[in-house]
Amino acid sequence: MPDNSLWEGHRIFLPELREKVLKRCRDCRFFVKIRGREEERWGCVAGVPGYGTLRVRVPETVPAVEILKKAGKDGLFGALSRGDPEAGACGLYRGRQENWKAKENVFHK
Amino acid sequence: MPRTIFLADMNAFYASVHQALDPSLKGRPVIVGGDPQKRHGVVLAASYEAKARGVKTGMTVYEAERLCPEGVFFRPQHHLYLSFSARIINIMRGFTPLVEPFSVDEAFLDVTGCEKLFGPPVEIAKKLKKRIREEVGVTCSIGIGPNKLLAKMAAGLQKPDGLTVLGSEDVPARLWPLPVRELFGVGPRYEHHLKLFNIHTIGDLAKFPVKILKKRFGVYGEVLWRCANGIDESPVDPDSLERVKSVGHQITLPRDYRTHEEIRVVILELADLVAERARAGGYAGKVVVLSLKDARFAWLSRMKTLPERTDLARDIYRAAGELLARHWPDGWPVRMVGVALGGLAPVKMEQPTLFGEREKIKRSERACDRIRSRFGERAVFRAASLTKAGVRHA
Repeated sequence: MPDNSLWEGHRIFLPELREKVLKRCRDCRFFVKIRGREEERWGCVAGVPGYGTLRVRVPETVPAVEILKKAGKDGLFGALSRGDPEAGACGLYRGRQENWKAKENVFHK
Repeated sequence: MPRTIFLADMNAFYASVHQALDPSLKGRPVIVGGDPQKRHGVVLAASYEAKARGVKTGMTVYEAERLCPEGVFFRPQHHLYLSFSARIINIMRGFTPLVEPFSVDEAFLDVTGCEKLFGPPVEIAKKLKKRIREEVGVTCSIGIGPNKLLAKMAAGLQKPDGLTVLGSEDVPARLWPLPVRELFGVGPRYEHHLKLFNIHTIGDLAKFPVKILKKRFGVYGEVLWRCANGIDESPVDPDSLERVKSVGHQITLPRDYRTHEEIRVVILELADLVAERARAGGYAGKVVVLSLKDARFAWLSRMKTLPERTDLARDIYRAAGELLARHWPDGWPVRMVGVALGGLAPVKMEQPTLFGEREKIKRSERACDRIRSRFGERAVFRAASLTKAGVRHA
């Protein structure tokens, strides 16, 4: 492959942006399992009041009823619509911490 | 096969983000600048309305206020700019997976072969501009070229909201008459050196014998000559961001520090930050770089190669401290301090030390990382940060 050093050498990049560019939704702390009455689906709780600001700890699994209470039907719909683990990280991305390795195995099964 | 490369450059990005968030600011002069009290008081970005009143990036906030008293001033909010940038990059990825971000407001796209999906290159560029404008609220200039260099040069030819195509055949007519400093990769120092060879325009550089340039400037001389001739084979490499070469932090001090004792406190704080970031990425580095700027903005940068790779703040601090003692006279004022760890490589296997002293320090530093990550930056920090010289937790 031809050399890219001319551009890599001149690149000005904030580490936080680098993280956002490289990571996927599956790497994000807000990407959780949303548990309904009959099924569990992946979704994003970054837009749900409390979780998004990290005022409330984001658990591994969030009951759908909890999101309904906090953000209403539209909030739940929004959370479930962002359920693709392979989608590129958005501006609200926050990296996972210790429990991330266990989840990684789930995604790669 | 000829390539089609875009460079999308957001116009007055920081100011545009504030205008996008508050539509009442559209059409008004918006200026983003640092805090003069913290001595970061320079303009980082100005909207085109402010630029029309003479405000320029890099001038002091005081000067900008004088030129544009009706301007709306904002302190920089980097988390906002990063969020917008991430959204824009995701839009770009809807057109091609080959997106290489170049800075917070610029990215290269390789759209070769996308014609059947989205139409000819100009149409793709129009669609991209439209989506960014409608979904994010920011305008951008796009340069289209057969390589990254010409795309970058093209994007700079028409601003704001421009769309410029620059082919290899356009180089003599459109690039060669421009002053040599307009060429990508030529800064004020190279401009000065090139002028000594009577090279004033990009055309002069393109016609200059490459052998002499190579002899004078080394490999970079040939790179510049190729750039002047519009030749660039660099790929758009989305994976290039994964290769981290160095991690660094720098800080402008709230006042000039004069004693080594004071400067060492800042070095320790920066070493902590650098080590934490290296560990977070799973890297260890071999080269410690200390950068210092004095009150007259004179710059000094010195490096030290360590006997083995490290990701410990202690090792970085010790090496930077040695550089300080050797190269900076005690009592000479310091305005800015920077510490970087270079020569990074992923940490795979480590040779444990005989008595486990190193492992103990490593465990304690990692424990601090976890505490900070969970409870915030202020949850645990060095006692030295509580002294007058501490800046991180002041």
